[in-house]
Amino acid sequence: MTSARPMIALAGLSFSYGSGHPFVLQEISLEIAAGTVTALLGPNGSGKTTLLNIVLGWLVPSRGHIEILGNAEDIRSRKELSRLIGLVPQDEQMTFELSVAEYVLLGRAPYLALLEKPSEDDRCLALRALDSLGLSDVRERPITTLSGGERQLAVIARALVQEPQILLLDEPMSHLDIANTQRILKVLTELREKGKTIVFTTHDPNIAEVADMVVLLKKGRLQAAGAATATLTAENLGATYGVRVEVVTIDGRPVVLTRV
Amino acid sequence: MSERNPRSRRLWWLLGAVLLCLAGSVLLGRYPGPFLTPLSALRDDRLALDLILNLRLPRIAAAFLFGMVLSASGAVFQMIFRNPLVDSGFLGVSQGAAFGASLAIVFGGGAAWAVQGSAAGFAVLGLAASYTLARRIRLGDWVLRLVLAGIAVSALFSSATGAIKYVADPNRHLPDITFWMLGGLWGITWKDVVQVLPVIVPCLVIIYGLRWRLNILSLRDETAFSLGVAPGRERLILLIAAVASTAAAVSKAGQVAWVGLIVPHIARRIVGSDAQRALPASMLIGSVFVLLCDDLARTALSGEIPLGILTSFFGTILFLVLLLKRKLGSWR
Repeated sequence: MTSARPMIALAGLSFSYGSGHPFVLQEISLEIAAGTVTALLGPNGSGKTTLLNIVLGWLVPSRGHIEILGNAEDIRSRKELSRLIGLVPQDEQMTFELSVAEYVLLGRAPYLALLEKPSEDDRCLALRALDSLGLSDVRERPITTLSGGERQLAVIARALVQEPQILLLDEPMSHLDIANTQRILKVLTELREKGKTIVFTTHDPNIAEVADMVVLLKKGRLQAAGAATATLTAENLGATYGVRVEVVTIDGRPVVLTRV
Repeated sequence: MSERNPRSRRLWWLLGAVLLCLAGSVLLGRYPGPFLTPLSALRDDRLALDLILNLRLPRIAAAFLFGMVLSASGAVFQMIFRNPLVDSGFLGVSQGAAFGASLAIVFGGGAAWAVQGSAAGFAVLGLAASYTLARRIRLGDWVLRLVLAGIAVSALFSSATGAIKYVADPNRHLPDITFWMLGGLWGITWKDVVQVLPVIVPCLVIIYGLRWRLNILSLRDETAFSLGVAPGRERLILLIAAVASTAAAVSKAGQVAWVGLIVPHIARRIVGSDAQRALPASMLIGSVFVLLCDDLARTALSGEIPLGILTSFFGTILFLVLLLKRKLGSWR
């Protein structure tokens, strides 16, 4: 929350997958500052991924509106948007065995014309992104042979090669062990230092805790939003998930314990 | 990753193999001897020269072109449907063409132009029906909907073709239908080659031009969108190019099975999965594969062996070899 001008502003935003379908998101109003990390937290089906897809421009809100950097999203071209926003999807589909470097190079697409292929400069950028995430050694390996953590880093590298200002990550730490989770969190906080605006979804309140802002969603509605310490309370989490939790503070940071 | 990658160099080797096959095919044939036309015959034997210029060369050109088309289209289908096991048999294209050809043979007099036109028309209609149906299905994502619709349309065309075969005259029409379905290039003339060029060349140029973007279209729609790609529109452009060129090839050659399925797999094995290299490699290998099968079709016996039988036979063997040698969990 360092900038007065929000990077992403949502006002009265609602979304449904068509007339007759229930609203997946309802009346969401939210401002996300530039250069911050925001965690979207909520039970399965609470609308976290839908919200990311609306910020991405892939889905168009049924009601309300969204502004990116002060501009309505719908006035931007697809190419402009792709230079501004990068996506790390929950489960990247990789049917064919591209090498890690070939896959990361796809991130240059927003800067290439329809029939253009990547230049030597684009290749250098891809290699630099791989190097910055510690993937240089595996760059010629088929991406399908990487471990879960390396693979997730490769997807992040692909999104970073887009040179986006906003990075959206859908459950980037799911299925990862503690070491890889820490590795990804470290990358995210380093990207924040470089001024990137990060929005990620998660199921784990103890991962959300690293964010500057935590947004709690329940059944498509905004349950609470604010700094981690103020939002990750036993009361808010209990109301969001419908279970009893205990929140203790260690070194000034909230730690959520579940009670069975 | 670099263009100087050894895998890129393999493309030049493949190109060399294609040129060698083209040259060899010109001299392969059953005149004047059983297998080979000696170079001296081109100078001394007027009939040999005529035979090569007017019968063998158009056939070689067609095999070269159709091999390219079928394998390029196969690579496109596999990548845009994110499924290494699809080819033009999906989406109602092949079955549509078979129905169109059978219809023209039995009810349209069986003239070559009628059979070819009807096959091409129904192949495109098969795609249009699959696409329209996919837009109305409310199940799964775009790819699943299109494949489901394609299966349904293919099955409908198959049953209709079965009905036509049932009522067809077993002496006059049924052999023609069977022969068309087995595929072959025995009747190809320069006129046939020239007729399909206006369709095939632009389609191949589009597919070749968009080959790097095929990599992006093989990812999730959301990811492709986030990379500035219009996944629906670009897939449709590639799909139309792949289907139109396949329809043109099938209209002249009948059903030449397995090329579109197997060749892209071999190409990925040789040059890697990046479509920047895998697509041109598929086109080159496809042309060699069909060319060699057709060489065999016209020289092995004194009569003609249907091309589709040979492509299916050798395609299946190659497919099994690839399956048995495949590393676990990986598709190339």
